[in-house]
Amino acid sequence: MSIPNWWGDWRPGLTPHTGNLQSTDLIECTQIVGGQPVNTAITGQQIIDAASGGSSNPSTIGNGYGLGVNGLANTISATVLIPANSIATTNTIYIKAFIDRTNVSGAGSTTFRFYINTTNSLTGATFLGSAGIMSTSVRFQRFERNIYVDLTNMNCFNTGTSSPTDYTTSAISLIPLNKTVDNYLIFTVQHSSSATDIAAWKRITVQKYA
Amino acid sequence: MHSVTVNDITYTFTEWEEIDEIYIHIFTTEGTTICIPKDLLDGTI
Repeated sequence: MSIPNWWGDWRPGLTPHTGNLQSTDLIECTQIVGGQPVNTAITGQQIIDAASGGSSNPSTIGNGYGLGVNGLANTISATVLIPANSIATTNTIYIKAFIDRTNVSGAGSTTFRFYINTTNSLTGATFLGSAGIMSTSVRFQRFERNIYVDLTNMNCFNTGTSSPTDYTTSAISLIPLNKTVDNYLIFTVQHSSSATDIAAWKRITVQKYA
Repeated sequence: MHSVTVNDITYTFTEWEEIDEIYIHIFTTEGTTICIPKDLLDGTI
């Protein structure tokens, strides 16, 4: 006869837990107050959240899977939400991505920009920089940025410099950040002259280093 | 000097660049670059 793996106190009518912790699990703790048992329930999600923000460094803030973009407008390919209060002073936001052009005509070039805004919109979005401009038959690019967050600003690689990575010296761009509200990192694609070209921020991972 | 208000924030700027038929980038006096729909500027630039 096997012994079930219980989370907390035994409760008649509740299914015993036998697998990995799930976000919907309830872990009950009982204390005696005035001679009576008082139960407090902790959810599995609370434990998962605490573990990812506490012991894991870096921790992942979010991922984006970009849409292929054609046409000549500056168009959103992908967005990653940075939830309110998920970034603290002295954290570093680390963005890594890869970019590809799945259809190229050989005419003109493609520009890949990224912004931050409190809504998922380009209207009023603050420009944070550009990846390397891709022209002719270039199809692939790996992208990385480290953004240090101080008391009031993001400390960014010079926003006016188009570069795949920040593995080089640069001027600094200080961009104000309100950490207490939702912020969206917005990644766009724009083709210069060939509306039939297609490109995307294919996969984006946004992490933070404590 | 020009100014525009977006999301209750007013930006002042003297220089800008055209991005596409809808948007421009304004280079604010605070040193940031903001993406603005042209129609918010009401033909003032």
